Amino acid sequence: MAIICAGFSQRTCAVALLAVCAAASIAFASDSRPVPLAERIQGAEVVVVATPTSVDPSWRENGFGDRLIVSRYVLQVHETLKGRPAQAMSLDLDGGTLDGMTLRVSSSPALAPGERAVFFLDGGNGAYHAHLKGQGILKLDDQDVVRGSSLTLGEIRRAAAAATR
Amino acid sequence: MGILRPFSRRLLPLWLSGLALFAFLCANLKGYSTNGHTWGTNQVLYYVNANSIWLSPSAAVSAIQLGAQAWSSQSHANIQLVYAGSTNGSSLTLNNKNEVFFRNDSNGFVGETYWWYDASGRLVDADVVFHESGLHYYTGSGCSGGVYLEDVAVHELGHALGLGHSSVPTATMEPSLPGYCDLTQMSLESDDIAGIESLYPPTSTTRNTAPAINISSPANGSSFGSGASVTFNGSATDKEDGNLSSSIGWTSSIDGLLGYGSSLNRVLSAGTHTITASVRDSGGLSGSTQVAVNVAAAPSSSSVSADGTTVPTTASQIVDTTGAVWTIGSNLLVLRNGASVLGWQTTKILWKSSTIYVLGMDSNWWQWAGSSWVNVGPTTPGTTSATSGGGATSADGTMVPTTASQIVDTTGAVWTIASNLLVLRNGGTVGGWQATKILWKSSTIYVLGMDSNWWQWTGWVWVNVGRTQP
Repeated sequence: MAIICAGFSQRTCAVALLAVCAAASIAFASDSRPVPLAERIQGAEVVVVATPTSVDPSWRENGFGDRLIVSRYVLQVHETLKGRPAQAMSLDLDGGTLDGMTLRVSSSPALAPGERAVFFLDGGNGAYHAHLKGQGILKLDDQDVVRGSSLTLGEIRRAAAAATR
Repeated sequence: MGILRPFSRRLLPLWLSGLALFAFLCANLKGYSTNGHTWGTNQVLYYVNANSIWLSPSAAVSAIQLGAQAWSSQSHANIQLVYAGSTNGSSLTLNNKNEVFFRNDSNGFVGETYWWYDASGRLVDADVVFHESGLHYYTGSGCSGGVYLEDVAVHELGHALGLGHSSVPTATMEPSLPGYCDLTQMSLESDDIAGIESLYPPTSTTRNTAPAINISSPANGSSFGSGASVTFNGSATDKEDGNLSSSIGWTSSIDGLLGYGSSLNRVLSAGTHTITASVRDSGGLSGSTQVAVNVAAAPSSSSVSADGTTVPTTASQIVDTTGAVWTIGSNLLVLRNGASVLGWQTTKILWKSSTIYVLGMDSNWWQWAGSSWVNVGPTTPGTTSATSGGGATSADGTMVPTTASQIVDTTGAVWTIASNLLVLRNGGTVGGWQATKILWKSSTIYVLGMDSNWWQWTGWVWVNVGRTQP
C-alpha cells in the first residue's frame, strides 16, 4: 500500500485508507470478529512494542479439557503504550513445537523469537496472554508498518495516547 | 543494461518505480499461505459432535459436510474430507482423531482450528471448534444477524487441510467474513483452489473432466405403442477426448443393454423404462443421463383382430398380436399405428394366420415380414384360386410331374407345368419361366430350369440354387 500511495497525493491516499478501514469495520472474521484498534487498546491491560527473545513450549491442559502445546515467550519491551512500564514480560500463546509435534492455531499467529510486534496483553497466572488472541499481536516490518496492512506504529501510538488520555 | 538504452536518464526513476509496483502486485497474486504440511492420505476422516445450542444434529452434520465437500468438489486437489460419523469428543486434543464440535462459549472468535503435524511435516490431527454463545448459527436459509455454519465450516476445514489465511480479500481463506449471513465463502476463489492444489497436486485422474452427454430422442416422458420402434439419438462430448457420441451405451431399466452408438432403433418391452445413455472417457470418468419412456402393454388376446378380418370390408382397422393398429389412409397408404409402412399403397388389408397381408396396386397380395413386404401372389392368402385344383397344401417332397400333377403351396397357390413347359402359378406364368420339374420342399417352390439348374421361388424372383436337387 505504501508503494502504491507513493504515486498519489496524500489526500487521495487518505480517502483510500478510510475506505479500506470502513470496509474492514463491517467485516468480521470467520476466525474472529475484528475489533477496532481503539477498542483493542481499551480492552487490553497492557500494550507494548516488544520482541520475543526466547520461547519455552510445554504441554498444558485447560478448563475445557484441551491438552495443548502452549509456548511461553519472554518479551523484551521496547516501548510501553499502555500499562505499567516493564523491561521484560512473559507471554503464553497456544501452539508451538514440542516432542516432535507442532501445534498450529488458526486464531493465533506463529511467533518466532526476533519478530518485533505490538502486543495487546491481558494478565494471567504468571504470564500474560494475547488480548483477543491473534488480534492482540500486530507484527511490524522494518518500516514500523503492521505486516499485511497499512497501519503504522505511529498511528497505533496516537490511538493509544487518545485511548488512555 | 542494454535494455535501458532507449530510455532517458530522466525516465529511469519512473521506470524503476513501475517495476517495483509490478513486482509488488505480482508478489500479491498468490495470497494463500501454507507451511507445506499435508496429510499422508487423500481421504481425511473427520467426526462431528453435533451437540449445538442452535442447530439440530442432522442440520449441523449436513452443513459441515457441505463445507467439507467444497474442497474436493470445487478443486482438482487430490484430497477429500470424508465424514466418518459422530463423536462425543469436545476437546482440542492430539488424539489422531479429527473432531468438529461446538462450544457454548465466546472468546471473540466464530470458529477456530487446531491442527498438528509431526516432525516429518505430516498432518496427524485437526480439530475444529465453533464458538456459539456469541453468534446465532444457521444452516441453509433464514439467517438473520448470525452466520451460516457451512460458510464458517468451509473456512475452518481449509485450515484442517493445511491452509493458513489468505491475503486475497475475497478468498474463502481470508481471515474475515464479508458480513453476517454470508454464503460467499462457500464458493472457493481461484486463490483458494491454487492453495489447496499446491498442497495436494491434482493427479491425471483428478485433472480429467467427465464427459457431457445429452439425449435428443426419445423425449423424457414420451410414450410409444406396443411393438413400436423407438429411435434413440444422443451426443457426448469430452473436454479431453472430444466427440464420444459413437461410444454412447444405451440401457433400459427393463430390457437391459440396448446397444451402442449415437443413434439406434429398438422395440422395447411394455412398461415404464428408465433409459440411460452413458459414456466413459479415456481417463476413466463417466457421464450419463436418463429419460423415462413409457411403452404400452401388448393388447390382450381379445383385442387382437379375428382371423380373416379385412379392412375395409369387415372392419375399419386390424390389431395384430403386437398391438399395432393397421389402417388404410385416405390416399390408400398402408398405415401402422398411424404411420406409413414403406410408402406402400393398398385397397385391402387382411389379417390371416397371425399375418398381415395387403392387396397391392399390382393386384398381388403382399405379406408384411416385419421390415419388408413379400409378394405372395394374386390369390387371397388362406384361399385357393378359382383356377386351382384347390385342396390342402401339398406334402413335402411333392414333385410335378413325377409324383403329382400340381403342387399347392401354403398360400393356396397351385403350381403346374404347361405343355410348353411354362411354369404356371394359379394358371398364370411366373416370369415366363420354363421348367421340366416343380418341387415342393421345405415349404418352398423350386423348379428345374432349362439350364439344368434348380431355381427357388422367393415370392418375388427366381434364385439359382445350383444343380443339386434341393
